Amino acid sequence: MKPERSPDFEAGLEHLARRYPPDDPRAAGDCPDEIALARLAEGRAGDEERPALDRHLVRCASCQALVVDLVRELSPRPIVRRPLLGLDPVAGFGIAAAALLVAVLVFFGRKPRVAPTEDQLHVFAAALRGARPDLFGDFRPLTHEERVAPFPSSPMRSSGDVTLVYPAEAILEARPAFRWTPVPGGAGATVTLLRKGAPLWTRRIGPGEARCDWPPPEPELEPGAPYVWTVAVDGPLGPVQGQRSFRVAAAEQRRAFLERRAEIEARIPNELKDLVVAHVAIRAALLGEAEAAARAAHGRRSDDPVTRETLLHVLRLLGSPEVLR
Amino acid sequence: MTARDQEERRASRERELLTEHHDRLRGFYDEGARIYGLLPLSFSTFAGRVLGIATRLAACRWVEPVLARTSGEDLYLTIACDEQVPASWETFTRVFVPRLEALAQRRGSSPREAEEIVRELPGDLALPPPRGDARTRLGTFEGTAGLFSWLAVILLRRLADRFRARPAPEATREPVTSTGPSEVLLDEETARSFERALQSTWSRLTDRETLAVLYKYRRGLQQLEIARLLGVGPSRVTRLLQGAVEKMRAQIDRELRDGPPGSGRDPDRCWRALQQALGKQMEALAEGRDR
Repeated sequence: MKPERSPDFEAGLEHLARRYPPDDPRAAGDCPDEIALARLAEGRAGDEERPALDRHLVRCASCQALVVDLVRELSPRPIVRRPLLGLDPVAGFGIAAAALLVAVLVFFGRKPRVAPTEDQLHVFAAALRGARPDLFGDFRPLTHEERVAPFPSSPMRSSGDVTLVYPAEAILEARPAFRWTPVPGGAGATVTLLRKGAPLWTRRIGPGEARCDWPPPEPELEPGAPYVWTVAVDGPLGPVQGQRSFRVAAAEQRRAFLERRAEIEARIPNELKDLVVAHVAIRAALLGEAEAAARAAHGRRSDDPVTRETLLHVLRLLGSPEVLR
Repeated sequence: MTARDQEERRASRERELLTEHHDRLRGFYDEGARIYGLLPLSFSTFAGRVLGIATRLAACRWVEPVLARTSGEDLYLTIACDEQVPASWETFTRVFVPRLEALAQRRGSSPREAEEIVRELPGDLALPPPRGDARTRLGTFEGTAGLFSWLAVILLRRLADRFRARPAPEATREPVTSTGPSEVLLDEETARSFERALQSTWSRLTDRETLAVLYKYRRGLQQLEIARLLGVGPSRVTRLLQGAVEKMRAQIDRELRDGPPGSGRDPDRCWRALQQALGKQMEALAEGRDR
């Protein structure tokens, strides 16, 4: 016959389990090492090690108490211990409600482990400075004020009625593609590259186009040399023109930037490396590299305000019409 | 095979493993840098050390399942510390010492005692380990559990040793003249009967059933926590407990009924006595609460 269970049997069992546990330190043997108990408390013990751990814990009160303490410590909410003798329902509800409230406060009030991007950016910049002072000794990421400045300082801005976007400031490429802001109703454009005031080449671009790839037969740009390029557009109200200067990075500047980028690739977490490259490139006035890196960072984390501000900052430096969208 | 051949073979195997697990290792490294801040620890050193640990733990089996269970982000910090990377020990102390002090205080240490015992920990972990290739004891951390859990176990053991070594307070050496509200008073005969019955009952349960009962009734853990410790789902815990409780009830009854002469031989009387004692305790607790 199945024994009838008294309603107080569980209370009795609590008393008996505490008063007469199967503790037997001699039978328990050597205690497991710390990492095994940590694995057990985290629920990560392997199937092959569990039987031995279980056998030990049945008899070793101190290891049992230890894993129980750790489980409580690791629990995401406060543990309301089941009372030996149940409290009245009102008191029980009060405790449960308080526990729930604390749990909710703990859950929602917990400081996230991920620092805001701004903090991370500065922490990583400091770490880079510490790790490679030869490359990053003077590197400071752009501050919020710098990023959101409406007219970022740029000594080599486009001038004239046509806004020339790229190449601008310093570039790494020897055969860049040229981009400018389209002129509505324009009937074609003429692109000219000049050095020391003398045209190196001229190309005619069709209506509606605002880009000119490097003409294949022309010799590559010379490292370290300054250039000016102009775009003349046959606008609906007559000819309009814009011009912008740029220079090709010298071998030393190119090497330093590539080395910095490699170092960032090796040391910075994936989700931040493009953003850090963008800031390094902005500081080096390598706007093409800054734009590519900022776009990549934005593609990865489009909802992050620091990343968005960085991209907009680069676009403003370039004078890109995308800023207005 | 010459020593040089062996060395080349080992290096080639290491390269293969690095290529095969590059993305995961990179993920560990990035996550570690995100959590603990970027430390001047090279990726190749980190990856080599992690693969060394994983290969050792995997013995001759696949490395992938070991890596899949590894707390790689914590290894980022412990390897950096073991490699004496600048700022790593400072990071370790900054992140873990306050958490461990808080844990020690929650486990009954005074703030001063907690500070004293926890502050010793980084120094001890910086000492050379008794065996293995690591330079420090912290370097022996193998990442199969979280770093905090591992440190917490070390700390809890030290606290337990300290409490055990502490002389008993004077008051407990005096004969007990009165009982507190948490005392359950059973007559000697009933207490002896239950003790004997329990000794026999535990041996009838499997280790997992025993642990389930102990975790629930002795330690007051909740279902999910018991499930985590036993490595099963909560529903399995319910079934384990139901089975164990039924077995215990039946076995205790049998032991009480069939016990040696003079041990009561009346299960109902023993249960009634226990219930009455528990009822008295409940009243005492209630009075204490009302006062």
